[in-house]
Amino acid sequence: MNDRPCFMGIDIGTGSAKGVITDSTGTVLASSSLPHNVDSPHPGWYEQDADGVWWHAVKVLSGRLIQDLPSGYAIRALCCSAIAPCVLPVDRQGTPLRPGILYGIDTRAHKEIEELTEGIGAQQIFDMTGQQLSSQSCCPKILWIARNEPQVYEKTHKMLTATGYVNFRLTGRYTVDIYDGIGYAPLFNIHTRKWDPTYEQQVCPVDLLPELLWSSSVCGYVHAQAAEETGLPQGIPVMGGTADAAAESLAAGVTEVGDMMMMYGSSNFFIMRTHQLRPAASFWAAHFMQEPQTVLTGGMATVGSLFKWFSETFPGRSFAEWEELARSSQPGANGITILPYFAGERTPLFDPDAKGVIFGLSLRTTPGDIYQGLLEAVGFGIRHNLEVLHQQGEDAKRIIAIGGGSSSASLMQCVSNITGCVQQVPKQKLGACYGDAFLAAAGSGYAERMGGIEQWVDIAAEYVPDPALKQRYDKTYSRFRTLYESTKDLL
Amino acid sequence: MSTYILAHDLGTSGNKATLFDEEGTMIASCVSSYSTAFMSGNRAEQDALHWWRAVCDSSQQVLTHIDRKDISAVSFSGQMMACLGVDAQGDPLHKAMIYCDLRSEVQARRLADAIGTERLYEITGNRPSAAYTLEKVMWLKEHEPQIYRRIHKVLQAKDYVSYRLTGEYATDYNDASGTQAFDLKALCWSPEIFEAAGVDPKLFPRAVPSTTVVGYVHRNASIDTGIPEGVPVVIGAGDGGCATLGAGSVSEGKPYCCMGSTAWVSVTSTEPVLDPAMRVFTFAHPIEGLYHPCGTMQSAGSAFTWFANVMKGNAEAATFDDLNDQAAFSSPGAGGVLFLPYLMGERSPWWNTRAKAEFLGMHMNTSFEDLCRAVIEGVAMNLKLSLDIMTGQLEDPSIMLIGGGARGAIWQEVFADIFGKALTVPRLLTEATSMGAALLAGVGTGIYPDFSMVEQMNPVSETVTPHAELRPLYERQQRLFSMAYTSLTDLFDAMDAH
Repeated sequence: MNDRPCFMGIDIGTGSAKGVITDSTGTVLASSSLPHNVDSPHPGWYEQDADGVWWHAVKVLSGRLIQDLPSGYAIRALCCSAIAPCVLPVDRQGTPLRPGILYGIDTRAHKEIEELTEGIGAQQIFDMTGQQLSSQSCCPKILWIARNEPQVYEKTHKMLTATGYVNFRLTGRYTVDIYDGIGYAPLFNIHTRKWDPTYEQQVCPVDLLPELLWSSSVCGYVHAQAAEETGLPQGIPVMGGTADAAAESLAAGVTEVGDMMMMYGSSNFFIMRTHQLRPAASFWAAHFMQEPQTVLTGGMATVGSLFKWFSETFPGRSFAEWEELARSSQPGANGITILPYFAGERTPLFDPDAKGVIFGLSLRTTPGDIYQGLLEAVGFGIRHNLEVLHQQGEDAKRIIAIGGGSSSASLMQCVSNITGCVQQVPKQKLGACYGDAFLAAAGSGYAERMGGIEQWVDIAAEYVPDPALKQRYDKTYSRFRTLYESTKDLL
Repeated sequence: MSTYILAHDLGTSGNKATLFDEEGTMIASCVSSYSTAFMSGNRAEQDALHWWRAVCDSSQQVLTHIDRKDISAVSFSGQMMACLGVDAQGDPLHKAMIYCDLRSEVQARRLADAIGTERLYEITGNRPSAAYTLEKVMWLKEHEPQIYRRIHKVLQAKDYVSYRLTGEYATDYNDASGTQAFDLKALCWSPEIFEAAGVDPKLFPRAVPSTTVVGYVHRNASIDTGIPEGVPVVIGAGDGGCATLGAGSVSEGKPYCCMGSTAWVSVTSTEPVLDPAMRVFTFAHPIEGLYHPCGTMQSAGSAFTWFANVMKGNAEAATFDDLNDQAAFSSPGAGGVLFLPYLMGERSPWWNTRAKAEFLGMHMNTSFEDLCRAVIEGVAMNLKLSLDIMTGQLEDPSIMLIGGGARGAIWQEVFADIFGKALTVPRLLTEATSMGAALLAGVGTGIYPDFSMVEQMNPVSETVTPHAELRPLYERQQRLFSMAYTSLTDLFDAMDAH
């Protein structure tokens, strides 16, 4: 057996799954993706079939990747990530009792969120898990099942998330990673990193929850039946895995304290490595992939969706044309200030009722000014997050920008000028599954444990702030902040 | 034998000559344009000789429609607030500084300091502003003393033309009340203000009622214009005053709104409306003894076309009608979007040159149609603030809408709902100023019995009734509108400081 070692990573997203095989230096040997659907049987409900979608993706992608793998390589480990946190009740045999309930987009448990928050107390919940309950939380959804589907609840042996389910199908073990633990407020104690029975009366016995483990530790080994179904070698280790966002941040190269993944998707999401665990009202604190790594996560409610709204509301120009027009404006957008809160705002405002504002229009205002204002609005929103992070004692030292927005040089340079932060854009666009492959390599001892991802990630572009512009933006940023404060109670 | 009245409307872009017969029917009209030189330092000038040439050309042309011997009277409506100094021979000494020439900011401040802003408002009904004639004369005295020394009279556009026709210097109460030097209650020039301004009161011509026959067309003018010698010339009034007549506001009450690229609301009152906050201003009414308080806004129709043409991606400019159609697809309240229409700062009711326009309350489901409607609603809500100040407790059940912007059904509907009044729309929307001038000529020479003639000249063609069920919604929007402005004033100030 002189075959060279290689590693498989699989990420299950909302609309598709992606898989990759890399060698121990991060070179991609094979990759593949598979689209799938989300069911919405009722407004506000979003579900996926655990076998038909999640496990199916692992089987199909494994098969394809193994087929495409050049000869001379042997798969030594596997790691999966998925949308999170999902709620999937399984029985004693590990058979799903209903479709998996998806993460925050599923809003069915709004009544349970209110009840639990009122019954336990917002502060008590925060003290336990460093979170407030939201549609992202598992526990209200578990309570929803107990109330609305008692026949399911009675038979439930474990409540799994999507990563946990495919890991169970691969290894026979019920687990969830510690990063995903914060999705289980108020049953997860963020300080001890263990399930905490204090509020189990109000939700469910902690026995229903799977075993907690670090993402980079071994969850188990591919068993015979799984090997047969997937084509994977029997007995190779499967890592604990994690949520898609965390795997994405690894793929972006988040390694050191101060490293920050900045995802410019339809919304914005970031994960920043912190010196220590810092539960904060403005963000979400979590443990990361291994002890003692910690992160703060957060994000703006709109980025890509805002530009999409704009180009659809004012049709007839391509994004390239809009950006060209914006270049004819100037930093400061000739007095235009935009609040990007068209879908409310997440961090650090937590104001779901916030609204979009275009301020400072005059007869001299051009379309380019307004588009420049839109680019700056994203920069100001990110700067606001960075400032509040700074107040928590955590500074972004290196921002790694990913997602669709990172391919816009105009947006990237604008955000860097406003925040005064360097932003790097990685070459590799595979995303979370690439981070999974790294976790597989690191967890099985083939890559330097968690420190080595830097060597895997090549930087395609770097955006350096213009210090003079940063200073000019200080004034417009304070106008941006005042504009929200002046108008928030009106609308 | 027929009898005709020739009405000249000296506007910003040209002179429109219109013929009316003794029944008040419009017979013909033609326009002769002139240009404005806009220069740095907020200067805007026109050549008085161009005014005269435009009057000559348009008169000659329009008179081809009739036998010119049948002309029985001439009168005017004209742009206001200009400054034209003529010498003892009546020759212009300089290019006329028109209403939008704002070079005399310093003089306006100095005058306000010398006499007091409130006192000035109390006497003239108008706040101190660089827009007015007196401040411009002060500027001339300071910066062009050699011109100032030679000034025999300071004239408005229509007064210059009237002089060219008759050889007589005069102005009327209405135009005089736009000079910032006229005592509105006493209906005479104010010695107190001239003293504070350091300007010689003799420079201003005698002020007479708008229906006064100031003279008769003399031989030379007859040759130039084609108007027969000896035709009586009635001094007429400013364009705002003439529009007031043309909009049927010829007795107490009767509010109207003139909607064009700018817009104003006005009403007829028996006393000047002196608002403690000076949000509205008052002119002498062209009908002697009455007044017409006004609230005027900078960007009305222009806000609408600006927005759509700026933001519509395709190259061809959207027409007013296209936009109206789009706005109609939204719903009352514009999907929660508020528009503050301060694209050029604002006059009434805020008098804030620093104000800027904004859209507030946008969300992912906000459509282009919502934004179009929000612009219309914003314009209407801003006018409603001035209207409420002027009409006070005098609740007129209806308001007339005139001007080119009045023809969109959606504007009519939104204005009726936001004003909370039945909206009447006359048959002719853009002829009000000319009609006002014709009324003054007709009444002044006895051709028309009285000003109620306007009902015959321009009958109401349409009445739009407000939707009572929308009252609570629009009252809420109106509150939010004012609150939004108030909460943004500090930001406007901070912007200007940068």
